[in-house]
Amino acid sequence: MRGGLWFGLAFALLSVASAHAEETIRIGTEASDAPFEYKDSDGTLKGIEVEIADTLCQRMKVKCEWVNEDFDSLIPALQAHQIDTAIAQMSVTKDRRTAVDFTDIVTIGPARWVAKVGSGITEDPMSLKGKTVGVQSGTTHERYVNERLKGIADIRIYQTQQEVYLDLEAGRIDATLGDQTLSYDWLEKEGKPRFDYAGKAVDDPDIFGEGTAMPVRKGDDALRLRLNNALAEIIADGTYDKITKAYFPFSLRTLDSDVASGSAASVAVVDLLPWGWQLAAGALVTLELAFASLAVGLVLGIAAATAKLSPVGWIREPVALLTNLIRGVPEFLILLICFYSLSDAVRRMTGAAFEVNPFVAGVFALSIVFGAYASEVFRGALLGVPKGQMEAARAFGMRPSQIFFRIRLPQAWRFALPSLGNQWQGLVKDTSLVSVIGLEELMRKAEIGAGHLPKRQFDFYMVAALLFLVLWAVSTPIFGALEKRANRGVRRQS
Amino acid sequence: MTEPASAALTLDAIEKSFGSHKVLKGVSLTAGDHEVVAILGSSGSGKSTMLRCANLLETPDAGRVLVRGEEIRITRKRGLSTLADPRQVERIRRRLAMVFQQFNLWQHLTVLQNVIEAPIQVLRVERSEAIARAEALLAKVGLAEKRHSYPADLSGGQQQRVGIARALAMQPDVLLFDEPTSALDPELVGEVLKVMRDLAAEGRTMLVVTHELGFAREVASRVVFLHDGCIEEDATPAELFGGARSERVRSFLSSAIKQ
Repeated sequence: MRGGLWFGLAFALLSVASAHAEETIRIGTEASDAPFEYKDSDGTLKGIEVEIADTLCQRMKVKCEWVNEDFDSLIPALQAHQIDTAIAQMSVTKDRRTAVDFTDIVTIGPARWVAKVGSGITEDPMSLKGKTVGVQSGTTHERYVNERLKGIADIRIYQTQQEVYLDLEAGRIDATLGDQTLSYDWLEKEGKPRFDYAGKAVDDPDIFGEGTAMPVRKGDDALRLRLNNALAEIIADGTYDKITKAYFPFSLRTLDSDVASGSAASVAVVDLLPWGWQLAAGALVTLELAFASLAVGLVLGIAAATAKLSPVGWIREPVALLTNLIRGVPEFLILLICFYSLSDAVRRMTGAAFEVNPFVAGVFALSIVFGAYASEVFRGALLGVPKGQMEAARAFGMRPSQIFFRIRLPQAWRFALPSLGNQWQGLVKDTSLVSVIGLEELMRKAEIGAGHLPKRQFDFYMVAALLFLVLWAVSTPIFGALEKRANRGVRRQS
Repeated sequence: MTEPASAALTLDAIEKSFGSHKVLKGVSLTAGDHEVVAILGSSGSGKSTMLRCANLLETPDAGRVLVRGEEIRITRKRGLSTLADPRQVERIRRRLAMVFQQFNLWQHLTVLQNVIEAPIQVLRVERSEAIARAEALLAKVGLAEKRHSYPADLSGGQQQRVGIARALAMQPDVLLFDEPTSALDPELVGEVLKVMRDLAAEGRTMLVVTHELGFAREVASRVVFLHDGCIEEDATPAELFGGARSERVRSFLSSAIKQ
């Protein structure tokens, strides 16, 4: 038993370690989109996103292998396991989300007006009243002017962006809407100083999407989360900005920081309501996770406590050892061990790629941790029930199971509940750990939100903290009522 | 006295040790129907242990326990006694109801719930029937109005009367009383003894470990005196209190009466 346990533990630890050692991640891209990804004259792969992805690989301590594909082949190649992810200015869209999962946003390539300097044109549609605007056919920009500027501005559609610029220079149109990063090249080479960006980036996610991100296979949460964590890391420590600022003077992550024009950075008006719903949905997942773990954990705790009170040594000792081991290891590590070893076990058995559902892994890990601590609480509580109570039941011919469930356990709750209340608080907070294996609970939702709107990071984390407090505030009176019920029949101290 | 084979309860040459201390050194006792057997003796003489061997709360090291002629199967292996058949023991215990010195009422249950618990769980009596019977018994011990109280809110005498009602609810063949009044304040002893007298008058078969000499003299049909794990004397109250054969019994009685 002990040998088997140690072997299992060592195996689980090894499987965590081996997930990181000597690992290669194959990244697909289409190297024809300077300055994001392109091949220079001697065939070396270069570009902003190439640098970003290489940096992510360094942070994840994995080897990156680049695979050049047509853009349209990237998702099929991903699904066929020929690549593991891709980076190619791939916009996050609803359609693509049905086929793949996406990391957090890597870049937002916002649309931005280009016009003659001093034109008075801004991102506000009304500033274009009576003007003539030109856009390239088949782009999201065409969709934008058709949907938002109909009847306001005179719209002209061109086959290529080059034609748009020619007419802009010739004065036949007043402005053009294009990809900020793409028009930058033209402005630097030809447009300036007569032409420049007009106003700030146009914020319209319904049309322009959320931004671009790296796709991973559906359900490959492990890779997705590691990429997300590495991405968050290089954004937080400034590496991301260092890479992008070498190419563009403006941020690729936010709509509003505009270094080029030197305008004061103001917070873009973003609709926060959907994010609120996202956080509420996360809180619900947190609650489900906590309750499921509580239910399983209580059963495990009572069972382990009973085993630890057993007169039979070979039942008592292994359980005591196991609960002590679990209590001695950080919850976070137990979660990772559960997640990777469960996934690994299924993979081994079926031979198919498999990740354990993070909710299941979360309940598994949190409930064994809760159960290990609760087993000590229950052990003490069960010992606190006077022996005469059980003896009376025995004398009346009740069976051991009846004695336990009808006489001993109901009275043990009284001693157990105050400690269990504290443990419940710990459990609710520990649910946030499950965010690392990709469960979109409250903490993860807050992280995602903060990743999208870095200026609002504080707000997201504050709201998440408040929601955790709400869970606490709601559960406290419930435990109070339970304690009151468990204390029935106890003489009130006067 | 009835034949031992059909006697309500027979203890035959029971021995019991706790560690190296031999508490019972081969005691035998038979309780026939409608008999009230009082068990006397000084502290540590083994009287409670004898009673607890009767319903197998303690497993005898040697000797036999027979209930209505049915022998409890005890296996003895490497000096360890175990009950061979837990189901048999559970069945036997239904017929021997016990009243405890410390009452041992279930603290989380109301008075009524205490009384109906074992009939419903063990005898599988219909709940409504168990309640009707429990309410009659609580009325009998004078506690009908306390049926929704918790034990902690009752006096010791009231708790012990609930303990008796709880035992009666099992409709047992034999009632076992383990020093039922020893934990009570003196002014509360009377109400419990009165209930026990009523039960004796009904013709209940009772085994009563007690220090109440008055109760033994007036109510018991037989008095057993235990000393140091052996039965010193087994006689009628008239014989024992009128002039016991044993010097030890006489000195015990005289010192107890002086107190």
